[in-house]
Amino acid sequence: MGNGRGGGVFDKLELELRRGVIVLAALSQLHTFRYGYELRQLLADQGMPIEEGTLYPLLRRLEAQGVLISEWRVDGGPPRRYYMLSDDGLHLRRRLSETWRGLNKTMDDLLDGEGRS
Amino acid sequence: MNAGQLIESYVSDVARLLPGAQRADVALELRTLLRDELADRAEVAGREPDEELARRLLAGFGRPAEVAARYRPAPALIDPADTRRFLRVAIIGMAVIWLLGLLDLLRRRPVNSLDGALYALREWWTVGAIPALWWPGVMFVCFAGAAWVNDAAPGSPESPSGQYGGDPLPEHGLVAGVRGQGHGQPVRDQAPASTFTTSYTTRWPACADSESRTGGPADRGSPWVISV
Repeated sequence: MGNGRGGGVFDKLELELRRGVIVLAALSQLHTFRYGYELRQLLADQGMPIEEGTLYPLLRRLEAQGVLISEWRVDGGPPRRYYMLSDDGLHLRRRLSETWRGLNKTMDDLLDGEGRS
Repeated sequence: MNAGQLIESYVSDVARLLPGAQRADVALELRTLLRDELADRAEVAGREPDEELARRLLAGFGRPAEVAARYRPAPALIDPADTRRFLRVAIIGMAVIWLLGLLDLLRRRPVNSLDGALYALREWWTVGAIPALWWPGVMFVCFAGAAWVNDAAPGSPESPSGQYGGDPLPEHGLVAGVRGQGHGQPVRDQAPASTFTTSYTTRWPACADSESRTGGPADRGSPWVISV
């Protein structure tokens, strides 16, 4: 399934898998105030590149949901908006992390046991 | 148009599509982010930020309408789960109305010649077929109302999902849980997040498909970039 139609299906399904972790990936790095561009670079450097057009609106939506708080800062340049986890966001991140680890373990078990049953 | 003007025009286009309360704030943030992204790309390319780099950046970001939609996702008027049912009910209903109208016309005005058939067909089209479009309109309102009720009170007994005893979605609406090993609720079948594609060929024609999805600085050396 490296190319052609199979490759297209793989790409689509892989994207679906990765899409599911964007929020948790972003939350994982927002224990301290971070600027959107800085966050994107940080995630990309750690192997989690996210399109700019995806990440920045996501931060806004998370803030609107009360998961993040934000503030404007001017450090000798244009004003930049920094985001950080709210108390609710911290709780949410903890819960999502537990879910992620559980999901990981479940999938490991399923994949390790594939073909046995 | 230089890079700065291009970004300014783009930000204005996005802001125009946002609610008034959000407009200035998002525009201020987006402008700075785009300038920083552009500066980074220019540094990587070893040149000053120019129009070409700006066009590539904006093409990768998406059409202003797409970007505005990401900042404020529009609600689905009809529940995606009901789309096929809506189409089926609308099309079958229209077909039945058309057929009954045609039969009624033929009963009232028997066709004896080709001219008579053409005349009857024209009368059926203007008197019966076109006015029958009220049916898909009424169905749309019904399905949209059902989607609104379901969205307003997911899981309530009155809502469609509540009839089957489904749990309400998590309050944050971000992920569902996993059954097994005590990690929460059963996996809920969720519609995939919207995928936005870029076809930026009007105001930024040079960027269409050039490197819009994979050319950003973040994906250097990476096989994929996530887009939602």
